[in-house]
Order: sequence, then structure tokens, then C-alpha cells
Amino acid sequence: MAGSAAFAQQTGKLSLQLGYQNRIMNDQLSSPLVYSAHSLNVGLNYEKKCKDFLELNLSLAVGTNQPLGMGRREGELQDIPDFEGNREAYEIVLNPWLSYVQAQGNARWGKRTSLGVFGLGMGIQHTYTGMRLDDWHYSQVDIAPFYANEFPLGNNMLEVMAELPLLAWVVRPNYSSDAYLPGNSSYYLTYVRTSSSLVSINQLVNPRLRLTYKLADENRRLAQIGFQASYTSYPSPKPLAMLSSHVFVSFRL
Amino acid sequence: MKMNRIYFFVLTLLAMLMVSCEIMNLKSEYSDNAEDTFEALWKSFDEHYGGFMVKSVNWDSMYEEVQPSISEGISEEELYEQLVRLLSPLEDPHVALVPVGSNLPTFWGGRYGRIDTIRDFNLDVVKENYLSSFKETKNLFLYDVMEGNVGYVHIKHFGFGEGVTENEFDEVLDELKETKGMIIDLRGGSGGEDIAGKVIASRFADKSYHYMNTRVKAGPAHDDFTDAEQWFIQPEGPFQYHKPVIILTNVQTLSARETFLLAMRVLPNVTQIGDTTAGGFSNANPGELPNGWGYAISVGEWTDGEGVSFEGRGIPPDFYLKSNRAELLMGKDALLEYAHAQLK
Repeated sequence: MAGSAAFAQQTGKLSLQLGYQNRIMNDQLSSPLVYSAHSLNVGLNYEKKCKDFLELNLSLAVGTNQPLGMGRREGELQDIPDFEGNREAYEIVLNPWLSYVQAQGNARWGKRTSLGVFGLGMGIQHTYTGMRLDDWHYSQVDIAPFYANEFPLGNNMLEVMAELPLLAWVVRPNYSSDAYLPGNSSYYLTYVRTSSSLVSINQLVNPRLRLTYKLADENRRLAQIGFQASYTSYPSPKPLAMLSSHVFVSFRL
Repeated sequence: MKMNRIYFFVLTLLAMLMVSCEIMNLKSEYSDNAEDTFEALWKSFDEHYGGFMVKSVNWDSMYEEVQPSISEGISEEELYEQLVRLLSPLEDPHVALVPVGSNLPTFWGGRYGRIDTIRDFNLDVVKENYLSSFKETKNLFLYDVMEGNVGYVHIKHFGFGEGVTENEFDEVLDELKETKGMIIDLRGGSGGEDIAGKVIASRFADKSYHYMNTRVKAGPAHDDFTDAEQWFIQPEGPFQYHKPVIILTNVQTLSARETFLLAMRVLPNVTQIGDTTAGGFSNANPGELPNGWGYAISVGEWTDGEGVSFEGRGIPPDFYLKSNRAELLMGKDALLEYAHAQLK
């Protein structure tokens, strides 16, 4: 069985991941435009796979976020004329090149069986970018069961992992996208207080799939080449849909 | 081996199926054309504008009135004209249309938006003719002691949050606390955050006052709001100023300047003189349209402590008086002179 031959690794392995990510976002609360974010990812991955499966991953994506078919926009916001009749004008640059940041962390622990690995993961992610001429954010902390297995391809291995969050805590702007409390000093913290929800799969649909081609030669720096995809659908206060695809290579440290 | 390959393919197919069922959500409901741009703007205001309950505007009628003028072939200028026609009846200085990427001007609503030139205030005239040794705090205030031991404070804006406002206004108050009275000039300058006005007004309070209620849209119906938040001022800071205060206002007194005025006008020692304010209290949010243009929309209902809304009409002064352009060009600010005479 491939499942039993896999995960023979006994000691913990630390690797550096470098990658490229594209995320398409349609947030009907914020904009009628569909955005596409392109980012470079850097991450650290620790894994130990013997009887148990343990994986820790931290990553940071930095890039740009633009409406599809529209690209980067520039304009001018003009004030009313002053005493001299001159209008003060403020240049607007909508979504400059560095306008997308996403930080993510995952911890997964599982048990090997004859059918592969079944386990539970905890994930945290925060995205901060520009949309609708303003800041935009999305945060999620989730608990997700996962399944993983490895299949031999010549001397190397293909690992497949799929997970689906069943319980999540989501922070989104409220219906009016306005934090209006008398004592607010931080809009984000106000949204945490007033607009966060504990949800399950009936509201948050977020399947995630990862394919990793693992090179067996331990003497090579290059350890893995991978592809990861995730889809997020969340209905409140208006539908949000996001599709992420991420290719990466990882190097042994 | 064979079994695991089957698992793998079943798993992949299931994942693809789940994604494909939902993938339609990634498509915009609008196209980049004039008709969809109009539809998106009308619908956004229909669902998110917070002022319909206090304004006599029938939004459905506005759709019927303007929509027939929108067709796919109309020019950018014609579309702009029609969108301005749609937004103008709201008489809201927090409503704007920003035609990003074109040479068309920014549209601002209400009396504020109709200003072609500021005719009744020039801070340079005040500085050159009435202040002998004015000082400025790092970000927010210009102040001096005028002839006859009358304090003068011009608030530049309210945009630096609670901490900076507290520190800078306490610095101002420390220098003006021995004056006989104080003029607070709310003409010119810009808005900012309501919390800044609350901080300043609390330096004038002798007890607790409920001065404002705010609520924002919580759903698409015109009357879907959150519960109202109540705003209070109470004595705060190292010193409270209880001597007579005159606040100068004009049509540039807008937004956080007006919510600050709501707080000050509940105090017994405060008088407002000048022109009626602009009438834009609610928080405003930016938005964008399918053609890439931007807009601003008021998302809430702001009233004074007794539930009275001044949205669109502004706060009328206790005593109406305006400086005029001809006199200002000669270096005379009639409104400031009047206030000064009352206090010295």
C-alpha cells in the first residue's frame, strides 16, 4: 500500500518555501469589481512524519491587488474652491504595486492508517489589501479535518492533502463597513468586537487541496515542488468568494 | 496501490465539484457599461444610504426619473451628468462622485458642493489682522490671546484621533485658561473623527451631557439600522473651561466639525454665531462602480441627543452673521470682530 510505504521520515525537517500566489476575490459587500491579487510567498515549513503526522507552516504573501480588466487606477479628488478660487486636489492611486498582504499559519496533526493519514488542523489567516477605494480585510481562524496520502512516482513521491474547515471564527466588516462606536480607536478591533462570527460549514465553505511532489534525494537542496488551491465562500453580510492558487518550491534547511 | 489511486481521483473530483458549484460566485454581477454603472450606483444607495428616513427623497422615483436617460451608447460626460442628477436631490455634502481616470470634476452634494468660491472666510486675514503672536500645535490647533484677553482657537481638522487631540488641546487650554472668554473658529479646515470633537468638548463640560446618537445601516431596507450608540461628554482633562465661548461657523463647518458643534451646543456657556453649517454628519464610506469610478456614501443616521437630525440642512446659528468677500479682501473679518466685541 502506498499509504503504509509513505511517511517513512522519522526526524523533523525544516524547509523554506518560496512561491507565487494568485487570489481572485469577489466581495459583493465591498465592490462590484472582481479583484485579482498577485503575490510572492515566503514560508517556513516543519514536518515530522512517522507514526504520527505533524506539520507546522507559516507564510507571508506580499503583492499587488487590482480589479480584473481594469488594472491600476489613478485619479484626483478635488476639494471645493478656496478663497482664491483654487481647488485643492489630492492624487489618488488606487491599489499601488504593494497593496496586498496575507499572513497565514497552519498546524496539522494526524494518525497514519492503512488508508492514509487522517488528522485535524488549525489554521489562521489574515488578509489586508485595498478594495472599493479603501482598506479591506478578511481574517479567519479555523479547525479543519484533513486527509493526506503519498503515492510513489519513480523514486519520488506525490503527496496529496485535502482539508475542509468545519468550525471557524471569521472577522469581516459589518454591513455598512463602518466602525462607528463612540470609543473606537482602531477600526479593525471594532470589527473584531462587533462583526466577528463563529461559523460552521453551513456558512463558510473553504475546501483546500495541496499536491506536493517530494524529491527523495536528501542531498539535494530542492526538496519539494507543490501546488495548493483553496476556495472560500462566505455569505455574510453579503457574499464573498475567493479562489486561491499557489505554486511553490521548498528547500531543505 | 490501485485502491489509493482511486481514492486520489475520487478526492480530486469531489474537490473540483465543490469548487465548480461555487465558482460562479467569482463572476461580477455587473458589466463595465453605462447601464450597469447606473444600476450599481442606484442599488448601492438603495441598500446602504443611511439618510432616507430623514430626507424626503423617493429613491424609487429617482430611478424612474433618471434611468430612461441611460443607454449603452451615452458618453462618459453624459453618464456623469445623469449620475449627478441622481445624487443631487439627497442634498448630502458627504455624497460624492469621483470619476477616476477621466478629466471630469469631483461632484460633492449639498450646499457645500455648490460653493464656487469661499466668500466668507480666509484664515490669512485672521492671522494677519487679528492675531499678534499666534502659536500652532503640531497638528491640529492655531491659537492666540487676542486684545482684551480673549482666547482664539482655529481647529484645522479632527483627524488625529483621541490621544493626539487630547494632548494638543490640553496644551492650548493651558495657555488660554486665564482668558475672559474664548472664540472657537470652525470655519475652514476639514473634518475627521467624531471622537476628536468629543475629546475637545469634554474640556468644556461641567457635568455629563448626552449630545448625540449614531446608528448605521445593518440591512438593505431603508429603516434597517443597528441599535443607536449614545455619545456623552463629561468633565475630562486637567482643566475645564467654563467661561463664555463663542463658536464661529459657516458652510465649511462640515462633518466632524458639526458633531463637535453638537457636543458644544448642549453647554450653557456656548453660543454659535455665523452661517448655518453644511449638514453632513454621518460617517461616509467610499465605494466604486463597475466602470471604475468612485463615490462616497453616508451610511448612517446621526442626530443630536434629543433625536433631531440636521442632515442636509445644517445647524442654524444662534445669531446669523456672515463676513463678506469685499471686506475680507480689505482685511476685515466682520464675524470675528463681532464675536470679539461680545467677549472682551
